[in-house]
Amino acid sequence: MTEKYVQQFKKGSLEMILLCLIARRETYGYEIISELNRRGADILGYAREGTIYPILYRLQEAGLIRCRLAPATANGGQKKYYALTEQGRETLSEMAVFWQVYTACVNGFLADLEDDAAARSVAGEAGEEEA
Amino acid sequence: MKEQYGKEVARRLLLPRAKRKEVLRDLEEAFASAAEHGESEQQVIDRLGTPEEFAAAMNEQLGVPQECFLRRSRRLAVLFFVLTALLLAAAVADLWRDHLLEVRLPSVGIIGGADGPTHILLSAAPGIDPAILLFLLAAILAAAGLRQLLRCRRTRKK
Repeated sequence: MTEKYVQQFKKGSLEMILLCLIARRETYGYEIISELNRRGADILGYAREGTIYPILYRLQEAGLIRCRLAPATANGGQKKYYALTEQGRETLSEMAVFWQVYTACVNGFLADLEDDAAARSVAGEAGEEEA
Repeated sequence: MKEQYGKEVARRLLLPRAKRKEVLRDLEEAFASAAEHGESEQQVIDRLGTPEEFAAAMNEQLGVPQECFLRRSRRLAVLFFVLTALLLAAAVADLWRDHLLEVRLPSVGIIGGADGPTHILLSAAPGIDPAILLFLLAAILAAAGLRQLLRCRRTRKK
């Protein structure tokens, strides 16, 4: 039941997380996926190429990241290295600011709920004492 | 194993040509990078899911809507078949003309004293007969049309 809602949270934040990873240094697909799984597989869900690649393509199309092909040292093939563009850097910092405001707002609602519950239990105890 | 995987994915990708090429290239890199980090091909495949699942994820995320794709394939098939028919008609017309000439030649073609053997030699020279070229082109176009039709059927099965 909760799975569906949790999925929505993850979907919304994955782009920003990818931008954060790419912002730190130039990186490639496999490294991004291993890093995601090392840090947050149990919370974010197990990252797979099938999920991550399409997001990378879209971020690239949106002009937030760019890639360059460089020969891979270990094998004869090529590796695609991703880096943030100037626009990507700006977007990420705007996203980060919004995320702080957003989580503070959401947390405010959750805090109200906890306050109410606490107030109820205090009132309940007071009632018991009177009786 | 990974070659087989790549082929299975390629067969199922319904993407614009450039995107399709990119996805297949990146898939190859996924295997290569994993090998570099000591992961086996089986481990990569376990993560990717079956070729059907991987291709479906890509199609869903990046593809044009299936309906558009089907319509385009059908249109291309029709176009190819029409061209095939035209070429076949041209080839037949060409053969027919040759035939008429051949029939007429014995009576007309004595000009310059050309006799039977010379005439046969000429018409049997390979590569000269445009009808053969036309038939070949028609066959290629028919194959292209069939390919589009098959692709339609595969798409609809899913």
